Amino acid sequence: MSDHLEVDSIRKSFGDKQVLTDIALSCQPGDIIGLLGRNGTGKSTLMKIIFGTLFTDYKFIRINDKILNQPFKSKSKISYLPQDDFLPKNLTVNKVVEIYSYDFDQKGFLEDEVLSKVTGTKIGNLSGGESRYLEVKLLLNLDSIFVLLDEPFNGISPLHVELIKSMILKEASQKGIILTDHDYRNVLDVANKFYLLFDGGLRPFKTKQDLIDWGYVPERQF
Amino acid sequence: MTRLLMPYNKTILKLNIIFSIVLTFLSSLLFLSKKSSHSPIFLIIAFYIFWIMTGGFFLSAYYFEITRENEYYFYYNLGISKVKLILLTYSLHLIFILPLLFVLQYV
Repeated sequence: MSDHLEVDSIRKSFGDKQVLTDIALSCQPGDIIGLLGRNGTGKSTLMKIIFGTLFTDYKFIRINDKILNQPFKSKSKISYLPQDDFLPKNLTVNKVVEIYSYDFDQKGFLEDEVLSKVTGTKIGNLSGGESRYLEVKLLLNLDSIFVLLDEPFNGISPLHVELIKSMILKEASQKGIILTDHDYRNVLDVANKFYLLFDGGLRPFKTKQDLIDWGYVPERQF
Repeated sequence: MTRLLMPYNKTILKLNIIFSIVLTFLSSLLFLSKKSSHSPIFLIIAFYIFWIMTGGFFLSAYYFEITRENEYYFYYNLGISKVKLILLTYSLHLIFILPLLFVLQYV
């Protein structure tokens, strides 16, 4: 049976503001789900709830017919790239890879055009692009079935953006990926299913015109 | 598992050592002038052990929480929750104070 992430009935409010209302989502290996939405619509909130690090009263998360309250605690199920850097800044690239490499070949991992130049460098001394590239690569190389990427292209150079996009496309054959980013063009480039978070609900869309109709982008943008 | 915890453990231990030295110094100022059947060195080491396992640890974990909260995701992605991380790190601190407990018997 194919791996399957099912999310249903997710509701979340902050004070009086209802951010998410009965969100339902399904993801399987091969899916790259692009999640768009304006600032404050709850994209990161939704990802943290799915990952299991943000509490909410209402949620239903099931991976392969097993209901999980905090999916991140189940090994090899799900990983999450938060918006901000999460690697300890005092560790070197080598050390971080060594800690994470129980799942993959450490030497091969470091032999690429970006990481081979910075193997002994401390995380805190990496550029934003190098750091984001390393984070995405680490998470995509773990043996988790589902990967949640929150703004993987945020504030990085076009070269690193292209490398990250290539990695996502390569890994998607074996993993289900949910990603969100304000750089919607990159999301549209790599994703094969699209949703817009709008008014607390998740709306599937197929064309760029839908984004204009729902007011996510101005008409002259395309 | 211990290998996965080491970055957090080292950070907390370093902070804890500093916080506990300060707390021990303050405790010594308050209590060393009072009459006691124990020697001052015994009391200083006892204070230090006490703070390492209580206030120093708590302050270190709190400091980490407010300054490096995002780093918890480093451990979440390895399947380690915050509670588990803190409890296991606390256990490792017990190992750290064992030599001090040993010294305490001879002063």
